[in-house]
Parts: sequence; structure tokens; C-alpha cells
Amino acid sequence: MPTSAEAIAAIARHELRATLGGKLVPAFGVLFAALALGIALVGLGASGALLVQGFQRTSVSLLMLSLYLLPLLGLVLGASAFGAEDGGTELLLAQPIGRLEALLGRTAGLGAALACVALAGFGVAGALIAVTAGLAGAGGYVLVSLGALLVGLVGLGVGVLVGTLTRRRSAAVGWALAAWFAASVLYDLAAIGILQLAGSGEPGPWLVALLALNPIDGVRALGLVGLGADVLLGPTGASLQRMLGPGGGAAWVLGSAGLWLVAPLATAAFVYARRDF
Amino acid sequence: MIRYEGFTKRFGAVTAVSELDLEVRRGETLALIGPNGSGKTTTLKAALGLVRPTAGRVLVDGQDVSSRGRAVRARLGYLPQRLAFPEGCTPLEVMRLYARLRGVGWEEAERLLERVGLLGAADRAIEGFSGGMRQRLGLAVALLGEPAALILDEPTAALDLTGALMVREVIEKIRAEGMTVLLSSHDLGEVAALADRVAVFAGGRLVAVGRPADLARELGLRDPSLESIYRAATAPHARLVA
Repeated sequence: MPTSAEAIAAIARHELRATLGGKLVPAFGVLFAALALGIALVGLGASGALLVQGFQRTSVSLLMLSLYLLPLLGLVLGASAFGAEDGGTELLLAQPIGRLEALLGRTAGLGAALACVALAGFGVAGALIAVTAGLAGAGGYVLVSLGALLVGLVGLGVGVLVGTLTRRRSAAVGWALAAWFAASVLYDLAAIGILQLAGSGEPGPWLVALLALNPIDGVRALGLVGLGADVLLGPTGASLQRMLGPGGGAAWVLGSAGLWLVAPLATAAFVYARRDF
Repeated sequence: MIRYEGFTKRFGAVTAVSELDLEVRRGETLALIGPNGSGKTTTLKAALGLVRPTAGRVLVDGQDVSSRGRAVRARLGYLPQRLAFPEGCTPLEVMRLYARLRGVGWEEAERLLERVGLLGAADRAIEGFSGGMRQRLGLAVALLGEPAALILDEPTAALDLTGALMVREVIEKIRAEGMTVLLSSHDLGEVAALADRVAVFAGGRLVAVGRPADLARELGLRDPSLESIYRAATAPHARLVA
């Protein structure tokens, strides 16, 4: 019989192949790559010339786009894979393996598929920029890519939890979409409202708490500060710079994002181990 | 080989299976029959640890499924009722995964694909497979690692006649080799052809178990057909199991 690590690796490889062989992930990869290329290329100007932006400006735009797309894909992938009752899960769990191995293997495979989509978008745009505009700012671009992937993986973890708590795939995907809408849209509105209520003083403590509670906002703020784009945000940007600048709350935001990655997966493992199939 | 001792399973307020005492003997084919929701699938899944007992226990070769799940599952092959494979996958990829999880070599996987008549289609996408071909692939997966017993949940349900006959033919060969088979089915013709004994379920309870001829005699039936046995055993107040 295989060891736990061998079983997890075998399941992960199979999940990755199966996910890349499906329709959703390749379609998302193509969409993300096309949008990333579109961002890297400035539209046709009046002169008819096609201009290419450098890494710095592309990083800011791609950060915004990827923080919408990658968590959405992660949530849907996780919920769809673990919310299905189609006999495939039963067949896997009827093998001489533990449920934790099955959950970790499948999640690792889905995470690798998500990384392929991130690589498609950031890779295609990055290669174009590197060839046409040079490597200045490439370090920040790589960090932005990794931050966006981290948030995508957080979405995957939450999606896996939603899937394990829901018996039907359609219901699981519905809850995943609701979670994405709440985190990507409603949360921002709520955050603005809270900051308004906090008054006109320094929003520091409130802002730090809000960034930690939602890794999408946390990584976005961290990325903007890291890329020097916080000046676009006025007083809030200045506040972010103070909190997330060198020696600031970057570790706090990344740590909370890490917790957002681990906690849903740990809860999902707990639920999965006790669930009937 | 597989023994249910006071096995009870409740899902919330619903009792799916109540105080089941049943033994599947080595080398026999035992068929579970009964209406939908009578507890057949829950009973099958409990042997694999897919469903955990609310009370009682399930033993496979003396090992408790609840505490020795991996060891038990290594001895059992399983074909679920609704079997779906990921789109874009090939039988080759599916067999490669399950062969690894069972610790068996590719030669055995290849031999099993040949046995179920799918070796020629091993690198074709499963998406284009008929229901019968999918079930035969499921059977090949279930047979990996030479399990001591096979658990088949309605193996020919939703198949056309050709598909059902091909799957049945494979099961008949497995049975003839002396493997223990525990299956559920709504097809009484299939049960008559395959099963040594039948267990009749109704309302989550085992109401009759035995060889069809013995059951007919105990029920006082002149017609020993499974249909008559089924009707008599599932009639209100009928119960042949203490």
C-alpha cells in the first residue's frame, strides 16, 4: 500500500490532470491571459501604435483584476469538487486511504490548477512586458502574482469548506458565489460605512482590522503600498502607508491571509472526516 | 466475511437502517432487495465506512470497519450506484490512480481493463462512453488489488439491455471464481441469475433472508419466484427475521 504522502501525491496529480482536462479551468485560464494581455497592451492610440506598459503600471491593474478572478475561481473549484455527490467521491473514499489524504490530495491538485491559471495570466503578460519594455519593476510584479495566488488559494480553501458542508454541487456553487460577492463587493461597502462611522480621525486600528478580516482587501492594500500606488488613495492611502509600509502591518495582513488559508481547510478536514457519503 | 451486528443508522430523525443483524458468507453472492429508501445502499456503504453506524457495528473478516477502515477497504472492491468520472479523463488515467492507491502494478490494471473489454478504449476520453462502458470501468476499478469481496450498488441500474447484459456477464464470471459478492438490485431477474441468497429490506428493516426456495417454503408460497417472495415478505406484518 502507498504511504500517506504517496497517496496524496497520486490524488493531487490525478485531480490536476482531471481539472485541466475539464472546461472551467482552461476557459478561465484563457480569459485571464487575454485580459492580462489587454492590460499589458495599451489600446490602439490615435497614432495607430500599440503601446506596452511597463511592469509597474501593469502590476497595479493586474492586481485589481486578479483579486476578483482568482478568488472566484478558487471558490467555485473547491465548492464544485467537494459539493458533488456523483459516486466519484464514494469510489475514492472506498479505497484503503484516509479521508484527510483524499481531502489534501484533491485540494492540492485544485490548488495546482489554480496556480496554472495564475501563471497563464501573469506569465503571458509578464513575458510580453519583459521582451518589449525591459525588466524594471519585475520584482514587484512577481510579488503581486504571488499575493494574488495566495488570495486565490484562500478562496479555494473556503470553497472546499463550503463543498464539504453542502451535499449538492449546485447549492455549493451558489454559496461559493454568494461568498465571493460578499467578500469582493459587499465587504468594501461595509468597510466604507464603518470607516465613515469611525469619524474623521486616524482610521488606523479600524483599517488594520478590516484588512485582516478580508484577505482580498488586505493583499490589495499591501500590493498598492508595495507598488507605490497608495498615493492614488488620498488620506486612506497615507494611512495605509503608515501601517503597511516598511516595518508596518504587512506581516499582520499576510499572517491573517495565512490563517484564512489554514482555518477553512482545517474545518473542512474536520467536517469531511465525520461526514456520511 | 461481512457481519452486521445490531447495525443502526439514523440521518437526523429518519432511521435508514434499524438493528440489522446479517452475515455475508465467504464465497456467496447475497443480494439486497427492497423498495427505494429501505436501507439497501446505507447497508452497503456501512461495510466500507462511507456511512458510520449510529449504533451497532460492521465487521469484515473480524475487523471493525469503524476502527480499521483502511485495512477493511483494502479487502473490499466497490461499485457505487451513480458513478461519474471527471470529464476529459481516460480509463488509463483512472486505473493508474486507483492502482497506485491499491499498491498494484500496471500489469494488473491492464489485465482488468482487458477483462472488462475496455483495453482497446483505454486512452479514449470517458466523456464519450456509454453507461455500460462506465460501469465496466467501475468494475475494473473495484477488482483492483484482488479484493476478498465485491460490493455492488445496483450495478446495472439505468443501463440499456446490452450494457446490463455485459456488466452481468462480468459479475457472473467473478461469482463463478468464488469471490464473495454483496449487491443490491431492483432487477429480480438479475438477482435470480446471480444471487445464492437474498435479503429483503422494507422500511429500514431486514424482513427476510435466505435462499429463495427456503424463503418460499417458510412463507408458505406455492410460487417460489422472487416476485412472490418479495410481495409476501414486504407485505404489512410479514417478518421472517427474529
